[in-house]
Amino acid sequence: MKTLRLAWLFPDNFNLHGERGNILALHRLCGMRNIDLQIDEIHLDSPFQPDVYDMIVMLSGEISLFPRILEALTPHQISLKNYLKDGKPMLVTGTSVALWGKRILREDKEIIEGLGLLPLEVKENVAVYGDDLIYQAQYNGRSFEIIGNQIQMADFNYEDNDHPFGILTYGYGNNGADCYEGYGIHQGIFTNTLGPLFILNPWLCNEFINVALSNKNEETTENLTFNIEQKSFEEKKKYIMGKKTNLRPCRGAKQ
Amino acid sequence: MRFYLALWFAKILNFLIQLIDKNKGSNFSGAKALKIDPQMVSHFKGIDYAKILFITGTNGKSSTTHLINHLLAPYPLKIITNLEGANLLPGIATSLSKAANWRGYLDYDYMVFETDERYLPLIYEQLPAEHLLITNLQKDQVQRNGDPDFIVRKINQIMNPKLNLYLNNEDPRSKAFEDQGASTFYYSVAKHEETFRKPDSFPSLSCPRCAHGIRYTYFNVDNIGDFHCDHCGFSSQENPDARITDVNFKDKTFKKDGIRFPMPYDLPYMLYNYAGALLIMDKLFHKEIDACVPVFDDFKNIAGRFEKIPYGRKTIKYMRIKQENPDTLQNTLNVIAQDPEPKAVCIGLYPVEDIVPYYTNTFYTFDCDFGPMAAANVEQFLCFSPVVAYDTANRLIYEGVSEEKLYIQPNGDFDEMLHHISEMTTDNIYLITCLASYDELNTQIQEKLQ
Repeated sequence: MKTLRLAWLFPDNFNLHGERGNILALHRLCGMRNIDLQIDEIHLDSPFQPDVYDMIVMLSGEISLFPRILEALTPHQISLKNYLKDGKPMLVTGTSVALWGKRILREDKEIIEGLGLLPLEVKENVAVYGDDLIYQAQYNGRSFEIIGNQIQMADFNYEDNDHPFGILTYGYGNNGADCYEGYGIHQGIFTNTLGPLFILNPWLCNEFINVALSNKNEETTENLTFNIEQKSFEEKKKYIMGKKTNLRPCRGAKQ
Repeated sequence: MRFYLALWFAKILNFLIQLIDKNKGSNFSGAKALKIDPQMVSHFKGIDYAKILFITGTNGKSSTTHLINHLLAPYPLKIITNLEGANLLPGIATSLSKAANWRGYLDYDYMVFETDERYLPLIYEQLPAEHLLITNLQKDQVQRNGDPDFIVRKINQIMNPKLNLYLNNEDPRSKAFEDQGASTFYYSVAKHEETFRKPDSFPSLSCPRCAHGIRYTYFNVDNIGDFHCDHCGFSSQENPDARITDVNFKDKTFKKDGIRFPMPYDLPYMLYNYAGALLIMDKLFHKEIDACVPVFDDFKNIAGRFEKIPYGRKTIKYMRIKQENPDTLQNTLNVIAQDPEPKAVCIGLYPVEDIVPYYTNTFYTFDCDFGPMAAANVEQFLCFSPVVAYDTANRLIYEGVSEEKLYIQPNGDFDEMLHHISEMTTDNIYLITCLASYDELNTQIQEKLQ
């Protein structure tokens, strides 16, 4: 039996919006593919060595916790950079993406210096913006149409638009202006998408697992069917593309 | 002068609204008057801030406000309140405009206001109450509130040394305010037969003090229960000021300080509302607790454990959930899980259609533990809502429910749904959906039965 090792970063801290569903999806799909998924929860006081893992996941969390999390992650900054450079898969969702950028400007003017692994400046917003998302994403050389939700607490401004994770069909995305969603660096996915992403888009989850397997020279597969998720996708896309929106760019059928 | 214009305008509107419909207008006159004088609430006269209680939090603020008013009813006290549920600044302005005389003077003994947690700083700016009860601070209405810290920061804005705090002893986020007021009192519910635990696969909560993981000994309500942080020692008080004990769901009773109370609504989350109200009666109003016993008996508020709708041979049992609110959903799942009889469960989660843009959020279901319910002798699951029925079904699949047990009805048509219910082998039907969907279904059932 193949084995994959997953590091789930700070689950007690970063677990908004039912995001543990991403872990359940990885677990389920690994089960379907007869892969033994070993999940290590990394807490604030846990020892952590990124390079021993095949996959790393950090889910959406509150900005107020970032300073404490950064304290724990900063000693691993170079190892995390190397982890990504080695083409290993990483998923970071929601507001937690901000922590991987250069700096975060909070609503109260406090500035938090991030890990600096993404060319990203983040500005916390006064109001929350919640909506659906549909976009075309590129991952591991393949194209995926992704659906999900986002609860946006901040605007994400990347210094370059060379590596967006997705191009929006509908949604607010990084900042409600440039029609880009998230950022892709090597095999790392940094996205605003909630839903949870891997539950609603198991085809992407499957590719994430494929990346981890190919890094270990293991056989990969695309032969999985997801009927319920496919039907869910179609129902929701119809709804989203026909609904009323105040978005200006990236407003789907009303564009 | 602006204040008087605003006040008189509000009073005239109040009078006219009363002529049209006595049940309307909890917000309207205040909203219009605030356009004339945006600081109207701060301009009323004769206010003693030491005699104002605000009740805020995610869940239970309305029930707690109703119960406190009910418990105060036998006393000859003039209470200004907002029982109609308008809990934003216009609602408060409406209540005050009704209570004031034409010169803006308020003659009252206490004000007891339910206040929306997100708008608390705006209300407090004009009406700086010196007593604040926080029911709990949970994930809720994320399209408006984002994350719980968004609300914590709002409440932090009003914290000051004059404030007397009444806090839920078993909610870490609420209890974390304990050092910020003039005095702090705690209310609590002891472990009882519907106390539960969640599997270890569920993450916990960050300690509000040190960010390490909070450990719960048990939950009385989702994310509310006896807790401690191993790292910094932050925990529930061992000896809270008001604790409900000896909860007996069969007899519908509980005890406080050895005194037995009737439990008008036998739901675990209501116990915290009872505890909070009794704490206020004791510490703020200095009333004898045993005098509250008979008053509890005729407390009428919201629905009971579940509404029962007879439908042919079937009984449809409905418990209200609020969309985007995992706590109310978890509570419903727990109640269903306790019924060992064969049953069918109909789940109608809908897109969230509260403010534009509407959206297809069902992610809060992954914060809930469906396991015990899914394993509780359920013969069939019916997922019946438009747009997100497949997501609902998928959530059940993730809990180990086999696809053979699932009937997915993505058109949300109630006729078709009722037809399917009629053909189910079991007569014991549970319904999980929001109130609007239930009301519509109930209307159709009543029409069919006529």
